[in-house]
Amino acid sequence: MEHPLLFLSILLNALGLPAHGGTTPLAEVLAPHMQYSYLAMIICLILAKVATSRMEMIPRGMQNVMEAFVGGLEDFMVEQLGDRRKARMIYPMIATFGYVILVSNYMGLVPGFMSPTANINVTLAYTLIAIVTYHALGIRFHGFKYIKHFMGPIPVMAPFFLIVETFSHLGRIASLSIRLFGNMMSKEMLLGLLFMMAGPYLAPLPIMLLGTLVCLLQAFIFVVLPVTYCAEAMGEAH
Amino acid sequence: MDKPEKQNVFHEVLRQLGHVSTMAAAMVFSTFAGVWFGYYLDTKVFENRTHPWFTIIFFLFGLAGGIRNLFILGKRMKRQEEEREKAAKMKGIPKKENTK
Repeated sequence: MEHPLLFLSILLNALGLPAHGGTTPLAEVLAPHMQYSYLAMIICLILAKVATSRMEMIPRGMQNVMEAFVGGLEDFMVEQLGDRRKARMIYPMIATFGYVILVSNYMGLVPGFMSPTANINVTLAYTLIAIVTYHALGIRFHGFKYIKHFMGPIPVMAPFFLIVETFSHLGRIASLSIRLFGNMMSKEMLLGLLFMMAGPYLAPLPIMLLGTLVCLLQAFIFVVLPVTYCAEAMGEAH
Repeated sequence: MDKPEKQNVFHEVLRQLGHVSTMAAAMVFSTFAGVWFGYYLDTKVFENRTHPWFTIIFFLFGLAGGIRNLFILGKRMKRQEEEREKAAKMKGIPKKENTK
């Protein structure tokens, strides 16, 4: 498996750019997962533009879809956090996560495209943004007392809990990033192998069906978990 | 009236799936983080003088962290369950302050 057939890479290659990865800065900026991240961003921006360009009182077409997405997600977050003000505070970040990840997950199902989320660097970047944000929110809401969140319920055992909590938070970084990456990666790998081994027509179909479900579920999980962590960081210590 | 109810159930199932799949991953990766850190201390910082000990100790810390993650997620799921039940009970009684 040299590299899979990727339209954007071929296009950039034809333009004389190093599009298949490498070590020079330009090649790193134009690596396949970066190209498809840019594409996902552009798709997201265009969809948002289309949805908001001709706003009407009674939504139709694209505006309707986007309003359902935005409104549904906001209701969901208010329900999770129990407070509209707090929900509004983290809403832009979480909604962007959900939107971009959904688009980039589904992009992998189109032949000739890949999911940018099937690369660990991309998912790790998303995860680090979420993790830093919820710690920042915790500090903002509790000030120095945020450290109480890491102390556990019993004062005597505080140093022990401090170490334990550190690892539980490290584990969150790993689990959040590796789950998304692993699911997308395994889907692409399976599809690629089936395309090569069992022929391109009917064999990959069951995996594609599974893939559509997994794409939706993983995007949803990446919305739910940061919300849960933020709610926990903003709430009172146990 | 029927359709939103169904949609709610679907949301609920999706969310619980998310939480449950997280629980396993959170536990495993937290343990790994502990082992990795202990191994790093043993081999790089103390250069094999303390060989198995830091790995073992931090493995246990990581395991405890994983269980802690489980507790947090489980507690949260339980609380939501209770809230949902409460809301379902409230729905039976006609609400008066619904109009505000």
